[in-house]
Amino acid sequence: MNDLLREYLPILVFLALAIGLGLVLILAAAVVAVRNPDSEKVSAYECGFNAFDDARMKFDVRFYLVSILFIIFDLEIAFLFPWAVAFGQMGLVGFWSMMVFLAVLTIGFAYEWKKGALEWE
Amino acid sequence: MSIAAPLAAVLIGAYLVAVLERWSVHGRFSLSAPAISALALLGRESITTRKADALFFEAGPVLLLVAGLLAVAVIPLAPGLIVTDLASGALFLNAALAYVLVALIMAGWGPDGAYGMIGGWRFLGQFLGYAMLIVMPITAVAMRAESLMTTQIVQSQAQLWNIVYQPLGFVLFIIAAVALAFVPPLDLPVAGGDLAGGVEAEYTGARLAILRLARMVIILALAGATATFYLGGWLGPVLPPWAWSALKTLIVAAAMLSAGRFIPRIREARFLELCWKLGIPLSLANIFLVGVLVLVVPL
Repeated sequence: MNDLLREYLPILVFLALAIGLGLVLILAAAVVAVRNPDSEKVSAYECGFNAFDDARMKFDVRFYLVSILFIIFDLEIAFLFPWAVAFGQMGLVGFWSMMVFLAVLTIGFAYEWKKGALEWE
Repeated sequence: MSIAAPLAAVLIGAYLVAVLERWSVHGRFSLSAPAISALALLGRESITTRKADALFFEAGPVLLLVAGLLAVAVIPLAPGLIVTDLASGALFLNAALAYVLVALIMAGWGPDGAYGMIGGWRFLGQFLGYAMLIVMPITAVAMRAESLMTTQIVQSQAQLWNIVYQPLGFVLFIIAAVALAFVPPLDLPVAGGDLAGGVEAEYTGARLAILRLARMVIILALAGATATFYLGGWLGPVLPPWAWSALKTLIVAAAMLSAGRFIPRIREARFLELCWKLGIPLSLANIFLVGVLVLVVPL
């Protein structure tokens, strides 16, 4: 527990420093900078016409299929990390068992590719 | 635990990256210019757009800065000169930099402008491309070091730097790093020419200053990570260790920033396709090759 605390305490301090730095900059600007908003100035940027519409509309996320595939690969990486750290102690058996796992994954990947899941346009 | 020295190093480093960026974009080397434009930004009016989502609008830039600074926390400048030497350092670096995506989407969504919104979503497309290319080469680096501790990773390269031991991983990692730091040619979320600033379009004054600073810190973090994982970190003759780390980090940062001068901007759809159809098979091959190398010629 103490080790964990000693390792992660600096991270917490850094987190606080980062947030603090951001807040100081915003507050400093709130004190120093001019504030003179009008309705034209605070409307969203558009090229040549008034921003009449809401930008938060529904649209087609074309890469949704890739993002689902991404989750599969992300999980695979979760297996790879502990394996990589213990790689030296496992020797050939460890190496080949992971290669079989990766081969299965690659077969799945080839299937996705062939089915056109990676085509965006 | 020593925080003051690394924090000072980060701020100086980020400033130098800003100098380098100006140099690569405008072709003028000026040590004072970033300070002047930062002061100018702080004095400028910082408006909030009419229909802004207040939480996302304010939190986006700050979160971007947090992500960059946390990533820097696990990068060693020299033995003992590191904020914290986590047992899972290389993984932590990934985890911290994953928030870059969240921050950019928040900053794009927040102001309710079409350009920011498109910029944010574009970065999601870009993320799906580079994410695997940043994690898989790190796995191969960890295989050789048998550790995720960044200091161990540097020590594992005492005989031979990883750029020679696993050049394929280096190439993939540096491309992913350019994409993650959204510097040209992969600056899709901010894309000066075609998105009018994208995520940065609706930000002015201090908030824009935070966004810019955060970007410098992220570039610094990734250049530092590249130096640590592939260029032997602080290892080198004659000069003190911290000088080697600083030198390598700045050289990598300069290389990353100058890439945009030679390569045209790549559309996110094209980039995603390249990453998945070429990058992922190559990074799987890289893991296999490094595995064989570690088993056959353990250097």
